[in-house]
Amino acid sequence: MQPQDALVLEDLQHDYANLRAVDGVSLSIKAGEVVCLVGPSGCGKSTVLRLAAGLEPLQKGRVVMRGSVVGDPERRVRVPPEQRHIGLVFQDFALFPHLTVGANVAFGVSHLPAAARMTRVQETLRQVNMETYVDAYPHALSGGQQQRVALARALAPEPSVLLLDEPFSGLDERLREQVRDDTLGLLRRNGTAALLVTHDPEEALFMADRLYLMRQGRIVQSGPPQELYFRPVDRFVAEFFSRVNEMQGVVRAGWIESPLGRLPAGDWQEGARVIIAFRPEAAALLSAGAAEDGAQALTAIVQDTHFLGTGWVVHVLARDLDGAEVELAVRLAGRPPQAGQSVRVQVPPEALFLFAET
Amino acid sequence: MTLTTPSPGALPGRRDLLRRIAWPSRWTVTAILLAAVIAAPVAAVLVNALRPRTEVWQHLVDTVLQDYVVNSLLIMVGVAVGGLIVGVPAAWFTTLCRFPGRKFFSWAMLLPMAFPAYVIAYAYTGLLDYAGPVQTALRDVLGVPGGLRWMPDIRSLPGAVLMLVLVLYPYVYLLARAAFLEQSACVLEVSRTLGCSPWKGFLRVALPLARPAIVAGVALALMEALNDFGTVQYFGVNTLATGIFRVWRGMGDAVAASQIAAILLLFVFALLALERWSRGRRSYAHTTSRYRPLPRYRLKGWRAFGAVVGCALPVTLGFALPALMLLHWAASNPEYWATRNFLWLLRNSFLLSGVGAALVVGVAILLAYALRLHPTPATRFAVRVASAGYAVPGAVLAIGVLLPLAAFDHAIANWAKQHLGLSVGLIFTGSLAAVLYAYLTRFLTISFNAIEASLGKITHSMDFAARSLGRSPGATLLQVHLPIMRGTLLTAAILVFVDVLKELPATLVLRPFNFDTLATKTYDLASDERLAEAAGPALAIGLVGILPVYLLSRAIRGARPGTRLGAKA
Repeated sequence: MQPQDALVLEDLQHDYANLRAVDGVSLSIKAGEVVCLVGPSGCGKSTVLRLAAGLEPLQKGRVVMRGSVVGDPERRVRVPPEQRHIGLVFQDFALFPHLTVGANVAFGVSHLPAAARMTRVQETLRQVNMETYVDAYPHALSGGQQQRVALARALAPEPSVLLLDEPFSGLDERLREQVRDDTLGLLRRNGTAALLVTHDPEEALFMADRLYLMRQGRIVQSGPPQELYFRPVDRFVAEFFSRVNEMQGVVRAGWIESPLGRLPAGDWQEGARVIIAFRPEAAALLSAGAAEDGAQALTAIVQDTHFLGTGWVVHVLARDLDGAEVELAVRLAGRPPQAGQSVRVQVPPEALFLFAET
Repeated sequence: MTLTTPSPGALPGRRDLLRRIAWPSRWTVTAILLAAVIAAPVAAVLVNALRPRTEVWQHLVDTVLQDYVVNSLLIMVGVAVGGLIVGVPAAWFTTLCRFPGRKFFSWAMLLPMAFPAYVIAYAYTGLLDYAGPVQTALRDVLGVPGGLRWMPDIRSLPGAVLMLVLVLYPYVYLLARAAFLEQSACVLEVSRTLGCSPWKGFLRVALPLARPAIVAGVALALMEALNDFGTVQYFGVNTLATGIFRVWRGMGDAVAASQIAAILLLFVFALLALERWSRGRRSYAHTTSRYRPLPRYRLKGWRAFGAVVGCALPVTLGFALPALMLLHWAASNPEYWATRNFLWLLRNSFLLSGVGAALVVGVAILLAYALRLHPTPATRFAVRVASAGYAVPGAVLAIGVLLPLAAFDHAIANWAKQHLGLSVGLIFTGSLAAVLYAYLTRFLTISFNAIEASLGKITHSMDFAARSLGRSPGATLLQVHLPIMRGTLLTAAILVFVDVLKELPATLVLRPFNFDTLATKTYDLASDERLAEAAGPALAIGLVGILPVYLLSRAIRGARPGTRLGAKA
């Protein structure tokens, strides 16, 4: 643990009645770092955030902020949330409806003298481009504006760490990208350490310096976004970020036999059944006759094609190792082949994920 | 890093941290203590009722107890039947039919709630007695000298039932109306397409769907009927409520009085169970989430006339007529109320009601917030116990508050005498604290339910936001929740204020010596047959009583789901 870590969670465990919601979660956030805690709904990620904030009594584990222990049931340490110096942003923004935008932002800096408080409020609102709305009430603002005020309110007291719980889910799709971009820019400029909880893989990849992927209360994999995307430790991780094509493979005589050709067996045991997976954009489609210098390829029939704007998705039908038909999705940037056409599907070996069959 | 080298900074130091362990929270402890205090009067009655039976009790069983029970039962049956006959059709007419004056009646039907039953009982007595306007007019018209012997005496059990029906039917009306409004027009229209006439649709669809709500309304009206003391006492009808006072005050036997009170409590508990049961079944009325404006069935000819009469009669008898009688008295005898004494009465009543409302709402806020912060089984139980006191009749509360307070006072007095050599007298008994204590027990539930519902609409992220911005739970309550809920708090306070102002039996017994309120003065004057003199305070009670009628009528206008009348976006 580094002393400059803004937030460290050590081996958190949390039970609701007889459900283990959080099971041995450890994570750390360095100063100025944006970390995403991502996972499907119900995986326990929001509970982790609430434990970090002190909103939920800690049952087991330790929470350390900027080198001070703020939660440790064994030593009976429980700093209440109002003394943890954290900022919180919620999906529903939770602006105080009876207070103006200015009063909302001033709420967390009431300890400052009036003049300094005014300056801080204006400064913070300027950062989110809401300085003209000081006297407006929250109900008069759009969703995006409310989100920006909520962000300003959380940032005004200059918290050690900002905790964001699905902060963009309440916004409609088109607005979301813009607000996301602005928020990230603001966090970077202020050098604010942030823990962002989201169920949206795209959002996590976009926002995170590092991300932690959770499933059923446990952290499955953590690291920079590319690492999770390109080197997933299991099928769950691979499938979380995008659709994945899967085919069968079997280890025979030191090679993995698969419809995509032979692959080096590496550490796989003789006779082991292997799942060969690849992302739609990793594959290329070649016309039936062409075969490139020995690269792995298999023959398939084009089923249908879908235009996405940024490219095409082509569904092709191929034969798996056992002869069963299997549908594969391939993303292409350029013009797709016609439906019914016979094509060859080619995937570079480094883009193939190998998982044990479960 | 380790605990031995805490880094300086904005975070509190380690010793500070170690001190911050609080279990169970102060909020939970407060809630449990409050609940215990609030439950004490009922517990005291029940404990006393279990003590060995006295001779007085045996005497009661041999003589009047049966009368008390039978009379109370008859009143309940009468009020239930009367409430249904008046309340349900009026609710049906004003929600699902069209007839002249529908809009007016939809809120005017609530006006009789303004007067407590004992006030209109006094008005009717004056109206119908020998020298009253009715008999005088009849004598003039018929040319009969002397008394009209065939005139039924209003001061009788049927008379008491009539008075109670006239002021209590709004409970049935209100809940039935709400149930009819919640019903989907689609469901009713489907019944029409399946061959039901509007009348059949009412009988076979709307009425069964509204039944749980109607049952709940009747249960509420019956609880109030059991609570009534002023009317039956004045009419000389012996019920369980008046029996408590007779035995306690007249025969000086608190144990036997508690035993009667316990019987009355049994009735109340049965009604509570009925109300709770019907509330649980009410969810089945909600079969759809789609709402359209209700298609109102136009009444014509004699049907429209029937609807107007069905609505106008209860409002006239329950509000207009007694109000006019009181106004007549007050206007012709200004010397009775244009006095300093009357101002003093007003001051007393407003003081007591104001303090009572503040106390009740304050405790309700504490309980509701404690439950929000720590919804533990202990808190839940405490809150349930505390809010079970509504419906406990004032007569029961009077004895329930006085017995433990007297015991407490004696204990203090003995202790002071032994240890300090001082004679402190009785501190709580016969003080305003005792009266307020009874109000707290009786009126907590109404405001608690309103505040809990309002609190439930504030998302928890609001709390979390305030906490993360440096506010303790208490500061969060003061700076976030209370300002957001101020509308509800005001409404709750007004309702309690008016209830306290109208309350008679507990105030009568527990008030300090010579401390008169509008209600007790009205009662005293009427008991001395000085009805015209009672008109001033009685009218004042009715005027204040209009406040909740106004609030309720405003609330029911925006109450239909799917409509936005009066609701802010």
